[in-house]
This record gives sequence, structure tokens and C-alpha cells, in this order.
Amino acid sequence: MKKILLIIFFNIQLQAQEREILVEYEVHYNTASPRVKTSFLAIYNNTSSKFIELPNYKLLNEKNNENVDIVNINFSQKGTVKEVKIDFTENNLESIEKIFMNKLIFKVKENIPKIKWDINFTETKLIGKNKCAKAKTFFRGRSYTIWYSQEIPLGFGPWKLVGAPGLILEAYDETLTYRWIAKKIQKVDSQFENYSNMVTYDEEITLKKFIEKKYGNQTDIVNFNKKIKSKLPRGTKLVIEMNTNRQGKELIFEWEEETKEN
Amino acid sequence: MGRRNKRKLKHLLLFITLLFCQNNYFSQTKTKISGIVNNNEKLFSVSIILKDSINNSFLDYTYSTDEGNYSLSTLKKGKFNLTFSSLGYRTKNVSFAITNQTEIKIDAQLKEKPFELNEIIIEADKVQQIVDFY
Repeated sequence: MKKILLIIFFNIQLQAQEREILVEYEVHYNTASPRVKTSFLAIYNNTSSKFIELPNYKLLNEKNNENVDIVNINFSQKGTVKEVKIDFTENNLESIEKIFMNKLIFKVKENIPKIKWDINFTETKLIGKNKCAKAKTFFRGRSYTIWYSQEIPLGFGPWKLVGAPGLILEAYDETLTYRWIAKKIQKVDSQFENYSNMVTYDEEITLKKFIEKKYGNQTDIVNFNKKIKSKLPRGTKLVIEMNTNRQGKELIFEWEEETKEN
Repeated sequence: MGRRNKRKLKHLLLFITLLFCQNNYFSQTKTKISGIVNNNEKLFSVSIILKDSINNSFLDYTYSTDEGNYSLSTLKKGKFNLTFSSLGYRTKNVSFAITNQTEIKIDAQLKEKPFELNEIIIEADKVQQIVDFY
């Protein structure tokens, strides 16, 4: 009897996993040291997705302007595999995040952000063989432009960019600090599952609490400064200029915007 | 009732009537399009796009809820196309016109279609410089 149940269960699982799609993106970080990372977006049954960004990166040479070449390949395995998991059936978004100078890896939970995409554009372009249309939005402090497929009716995309009329194949923010570009569309494979299994975390936390931790009392940074000071000779004066402005993709959050308006 | 109070009341009445007028004005122009998407069971996360039938431009879009409901709205009048699409189902187009209606109900039944995915490799484009983007 148990065996039969198991077989039935297995069958259901197979059926449930029928409609899967995997998109590979190249992520361009135009930050202090420009780099390119690889990421994957798996979409299951039109309702949930898993976005994974690998820690390996290629550094881009800034100085060589004639043809921007990839010069340095660094495959360190130490970094964390980042993940953004979205489930529309439960209105749940989970992301794997880290805080500067904090050893813990957090799993941050929030509701799926309701992004209002402005689709009032007539421009189209081809990405591969996909006809893509343009849309724009303002999300957590940055303006994004996306190119979404008009043939793949899935409201998913890289990172937290959800709810567009079609699958996002290219996205970039106004300052071009972040850019995602699709490289390949295929079925979910075992390699992706392997990457997905590499995701770990130490602590589960809500987004609001996480932001408080990240930008609130900066004990981690104070400790970091102390650490540096302890390694310098006695009597040395240490001046550290910390950039107090927020950096990264998210600069402002919904609840902060509300208080600002008041 | 004093004269002052009377004047106050008059102002209030005027304000209320104005408010109602405005309300009427808006409800006449905005048209709500809603309905249910299903095939045997209710379909979740079906993309519904409202297009102008003349220039095919996107006017509004949404995804069906877990109960298969959707709702869109437009201020425009004329002829429109409503496209229902979801991976694993045949895309359905419905044409309709808006003249004076404030509410239109359009339900759709989608037929299943085997989901096939051929590997698509997108040509590697050169790493572009920032200047090239604009």
C-alpha cells in the first residue's frame, strides 16, 4: 500500500513539474570594480520562480576603451550563492542577503512587491528570436527599463523585477549600474538544481528587520574600524570616511516613502 | 438658524452637488472589463492584455488571480482586443467594442496545448560601453 501511495505521489510531482522554463542571464555590475556574473531564472507552472546568482565573476577592464575585453577571470568559490524565490500562490518573496562585515547569511522574507510597469511604449526590439517590448518603472529608489517578450506570457524576471506583461529578457537601471541580459532559454536541468542546492542561510528575518539591521546601529562597521585600528602601530591616527549613502539596488523602501510624504 | 449658518449650509450643498457631478463624470468615462478564465478548473496567472485594435498598442494588462478572476479598466472608447495567454494553453483573442458601457464581462475558456520548449540561444552581444546605450 505504501509503495502505491509513493508511486501516486511521484506521478503528481512529475505532472506538477511539467511547465518549467529556465533562463540564463548575464549580470553586468557597473560598480566600483565592473564585473559580470551569471544568473539563472527558473519558472515553475506560471506561478513561482527561483532566481539564482552565482558568486563567480569576471572582472571587466575599464581602461581599454577600444574594445572592452574581459581580462581577469576569478573563480573563487567562497562567495554566497544569491537567491530570490517568488511564490504567487502564497504572495511570498524570499531573498538571500548579506550585510557588509557581518558573517551571517540572511533569508529575508517579504510580500511580493506590486510593481506598476508603464507599458505605454511602442518601441520593440529582437533579443535572439524574441520580439520584445519596452516598459519602465520606478522601484525602490531606481528607475528601470525592461524589454519583455511578447510571446512568453510569464510575469517573471531577474532579481525582484516581477509583474511585467511578459518574461523579462533585458533589464537595466537608469544609471546602468545594473544590467541583466538573457543569454539562453531552456528547460530546467540538473546543473541548475545543483546550484539551487548550494543556497544556504543562517537566519530567517523580515525585510523591515533586515533593513534596520543593515542601516540601523552600525555595530559591525564600528567593530571593523576597531579591528583595523588594532593592527596599526600605537599613536597612529586613523581617519575612515564611511559613505553613509545607501548603495546597492534598493535605496528606499515602500514604508519609508510613505513617511516621507507625510 | 442664523444667517451665517444658512450660508454655511448653502456652501455645503453646493460642494456636495459638485462632488456628485464629478463622480458622475468619471463613472461615465471609465469602463471596467472583468471576467473569469478557466478550462474545467479556474486558471491562475493567465496573462490578460488589452490592446487597441487599430494600432495594436498595449493599453492595460493583468494576471488572473488564484480564483481565475481578472479586472482591467480603460478610459478609451472604440474597438479593442483582449488577449488571454498562458504557457501550456492556446492563446485566445476576443474582440469587442466600448461605446457607453461602464462594465463589460468577458469570460474565457482556454484549451490546453502541449508545452514545448526548444532551447533558444541568444547571440552573445559584445560588452557595450555606457555611451552606446543611450
